Amino acid sequence: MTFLAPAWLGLAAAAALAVVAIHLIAWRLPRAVILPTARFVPDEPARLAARTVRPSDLALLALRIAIIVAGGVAMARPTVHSSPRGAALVIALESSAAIGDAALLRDSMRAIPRRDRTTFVVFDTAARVFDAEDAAWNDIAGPRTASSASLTVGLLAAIREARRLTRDYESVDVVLASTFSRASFDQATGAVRGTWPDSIRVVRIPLLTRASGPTHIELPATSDDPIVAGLRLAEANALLHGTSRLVRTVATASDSAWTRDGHSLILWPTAGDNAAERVDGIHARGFTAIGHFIRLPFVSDSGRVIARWLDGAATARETTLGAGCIRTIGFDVPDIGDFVLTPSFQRLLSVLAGPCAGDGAVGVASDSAIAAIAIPTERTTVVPAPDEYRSANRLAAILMTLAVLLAVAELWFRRRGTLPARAELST
Amino acid sequence: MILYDSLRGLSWPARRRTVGSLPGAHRSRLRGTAPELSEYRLYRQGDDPRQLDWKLLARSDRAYIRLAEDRSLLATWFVVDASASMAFPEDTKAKWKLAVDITLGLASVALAAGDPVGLLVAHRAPPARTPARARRGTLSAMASALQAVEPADGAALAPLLSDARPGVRIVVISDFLGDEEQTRTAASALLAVNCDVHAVHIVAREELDPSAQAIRAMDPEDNSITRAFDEAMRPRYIANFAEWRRRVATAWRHVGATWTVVTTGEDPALAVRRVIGASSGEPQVELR
Repeated sequence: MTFLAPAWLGLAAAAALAVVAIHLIAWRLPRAVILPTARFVPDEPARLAARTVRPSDLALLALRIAIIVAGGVAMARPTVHSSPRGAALVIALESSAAIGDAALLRDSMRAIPRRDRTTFVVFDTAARVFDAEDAAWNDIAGPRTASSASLTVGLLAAIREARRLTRDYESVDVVLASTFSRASFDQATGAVRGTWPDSIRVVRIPLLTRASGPTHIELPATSDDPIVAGLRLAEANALLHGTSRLVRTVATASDSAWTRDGHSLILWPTAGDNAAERVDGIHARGFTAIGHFIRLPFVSDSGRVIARWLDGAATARETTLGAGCIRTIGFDVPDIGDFVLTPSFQRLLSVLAGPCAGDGAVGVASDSAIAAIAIPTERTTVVPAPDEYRSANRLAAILMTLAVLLAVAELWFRRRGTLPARAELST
Repeated sequence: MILYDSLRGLSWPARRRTVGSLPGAHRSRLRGTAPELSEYRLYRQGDDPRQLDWKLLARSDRAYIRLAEDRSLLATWFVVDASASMAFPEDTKAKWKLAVDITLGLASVALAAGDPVGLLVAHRAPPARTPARARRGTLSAMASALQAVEPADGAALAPLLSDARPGVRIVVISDFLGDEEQTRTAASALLAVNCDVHAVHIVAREELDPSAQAIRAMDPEDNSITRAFDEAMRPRYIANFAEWRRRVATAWRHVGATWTVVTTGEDPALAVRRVIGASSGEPQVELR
């Protein structure tokens, strides 16, 4: 049995000692009782009469200590664990669009021997837990919308499962199968990894290899579109990478089919003639472009945000489609002016018309970063799993109920003891 | 009602001849024209010629007058102690309840004989007072007055006795733990003026036979009296209390009053009969 808040045990012990002390003091001072004929009692010091201790006093003392102990142990939140046996395995599998071949991932996992119990955690930007292996593979084989996964999410879910299994199994191993792309790391990854003290076996999955064709952007054949002009200049300045297509009206089925082949489709609606423009700023991947913009409403809030207004609202989103991606742009620029030709807007265009998943996310993290996940860590503060909380809460509730019942019994016992005390002179 | 039913038909004669003029059930000091013949006496000058026994004069040629025993009413006053010590035990107030029962029981017996009955309750100033009356409803008025009283604080009995008129019957119902000596002095003064004084001593069983539980015994009327009490002190307490009761009873009987000890738990009807028996000179047994 362990305690989540052991300090309460010390408090309960101190309170119990105080109650014992008060009892001893009370024994030394007899209870005051009205007696009209008190004048006929010999006038002698009160301490002479203070040595008599009734058995009921001891029972009352025991009852009060039991109340304090039960309440203190309940507040200390005890948890009872059964003796662990056997071995368990937690396999965390990335299922983002960055994984090239799911069959390769499956083959890698087959090489890992199963244990008495094997739990699968499938994660991208969210994690799902499966006890059945087939269910996990079915989930991975389904549509993958996230362009990259979050290792923090995967580790969090896997460690939580592993911690839950440690109560029932003698040894629990964790396997993490991921592309370990740079985009999958964030600032919390290391801290989350630190909550699991043992080593984690890492299995690297190859990143999706995109066709490295020539840089090219397909633009609508219009002569007075400032966006087209800006993109032409960016292409000329070699700011664009990969193959992209700009659609200023409505995407067609052929656009979707073209995108699935690993290209990026830029859906950039045009603003109406009477659209209001204002000076604003757009932040994307570390730099900010400030100028006259026209805000356009988004029809959907799904997808990864690749650019934001300065107030934090999303203005460009990317959604994975097959091997490519669709980018939806939520702003336009005025027809008049050369803002699209400025370096800041050109850099913004390099992000909006760049390859899928962005330049910065492409590539695998360094070996040292991956090794940091694999090696054991110093034992840190163990955060109890929710089940452990539930177990502690249940036991604490039982103990607290017992304490309340004992308190009621003490009240009854005391009243029963008080009434005879008033009428005690009759016996 | 059960108490009154069990007392029906009971008479409570005065211990000495009364001096009242209104006809009643008690023998009077006066001799007059009552139908009940007491004795003959030779006619003396000044006697009422209407009292001459003319038939005897015709037979014996001597003038005798008929003397008869007069009977008169006897006003009865109940002086009830409502001090804090009467509210004992705290949870049952058995002493006060017994005092009320005995008061009403004796009053019902007196009223049945046609005697006026009055009530004085020694309580916080001013004391509760019900005038002496014999009319219907007097007993109810007394019961109401006693029910309204909550025994508390200290209360002096002696001033109430000092106001009594000569030739009445006084019943003092108390535990005599207050101004016993002054009350006894006032009672002796009343006895000297032809009053009939009965003392009813109310004692709680818990006072007679306390448990050996270690306590701090506190006097409800005197905060300065707080005594430690335990098993070792119990015999001495019992002895002290018994000695005090014996001494007080002797003193009251010595001044001419009757003394009846009534213990809580005793049947009130039986207690009333014992009080009445004490007034007629029956031997008294203190019930425990």
